[in-house]
Amino acid sequence: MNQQKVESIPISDIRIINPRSRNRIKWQLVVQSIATVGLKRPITVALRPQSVSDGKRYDLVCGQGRMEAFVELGEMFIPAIIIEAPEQDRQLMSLVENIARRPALTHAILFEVRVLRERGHSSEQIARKLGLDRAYLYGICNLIDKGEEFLVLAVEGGRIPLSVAVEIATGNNHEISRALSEAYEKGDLRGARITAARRVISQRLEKQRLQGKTSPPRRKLTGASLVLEYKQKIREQTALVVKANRTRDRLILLTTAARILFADENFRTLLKAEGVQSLPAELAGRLSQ
Amino acid sequence: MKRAPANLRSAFQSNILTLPLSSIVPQKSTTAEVVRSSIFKQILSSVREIGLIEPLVVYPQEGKGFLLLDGHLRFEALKILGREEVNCILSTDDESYTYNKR
Repeated sequence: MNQQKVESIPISDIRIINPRSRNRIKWQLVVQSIATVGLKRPITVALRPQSVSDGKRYDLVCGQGRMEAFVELGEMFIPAIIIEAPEQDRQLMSLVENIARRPALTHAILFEVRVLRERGHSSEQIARKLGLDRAYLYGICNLIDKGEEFLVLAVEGGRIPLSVAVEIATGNNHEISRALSEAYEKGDLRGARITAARRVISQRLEKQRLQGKTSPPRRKLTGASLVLEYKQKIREQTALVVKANRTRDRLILLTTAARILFADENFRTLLKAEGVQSLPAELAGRLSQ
Repeated sequence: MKRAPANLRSAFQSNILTLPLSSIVPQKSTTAEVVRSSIFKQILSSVREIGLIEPLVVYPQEGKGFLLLDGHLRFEALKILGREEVNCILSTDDESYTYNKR
């Protein structure tokens, strides 16, 4: 085998000897990645004997996905490493995988962002390098800064959307964050309720702190207990609203009745005769409205 | 043949280097668990039989050798097989995340 240089060769000169059917979605990711960060490695082709008549000078050894992505992106040429190898070896090479086509580890992006930051790159530089949206990357950095690795894992594992993870990581109580993400993953808390639940719990902790209970002897905060507490608060507030509504309805009824009565000449005469000359200020105010 | 203007960027240099394994710095160590895995055994035997199909990807670090960006398992296999040199592509960027998208 003789490798020296990467050359740009016409894609039309390449013959695919062992076509591989690919996952379209994964391939779209390849296309997207190449369009954003460029081609990360050349394809590999083998030179065919001069005598072949179909005009294809090369056999593809490795890189069908990249080659098809280049075609998709409107390119006629592609950077390639050209090797010389006997027919048999070429066939073998195009069949054998000697790279691990394993899916990216769930925390690969976490690892990468951390390493790149240690090397002194800014968030913007990293976003550009990785071809990622800046907002997405800021979210990741924020999670890393707060040490919420379990949250990043949950995001990478697709169990929690990043927006929710960022929301959960806001504030600085690790235990609350953990409980919230637990509750989210179980589907007990969703959307705006995450924010509401955190506020409820934070308020409770703050109250305990003000009362001088710096380390209250309480059970470990779990997703379930958090949901319970959140639901309890919701119940209290709902009950309060119901009570207020009922009171307002009664008040309207009473006011209307009183207004009708006071409009009656005979009723006013009766009151005077009975010596009832004044009204409670609250009621008088409502009647004059 | 007339060359079409290239619109897409290449994130590597056009020359391929043959580097001593000792000058390459991996970013993570390969665990015993990985070495025992079937995927690693597969890579090991294919490297033994036909060599590397695609070169490793490295990034030159000033005075500190070459940072290994892609090919940690193949690098480990080469070490086990007692190879001393390996073909490498020089990357123009130092990230290793996007190599995961194949």
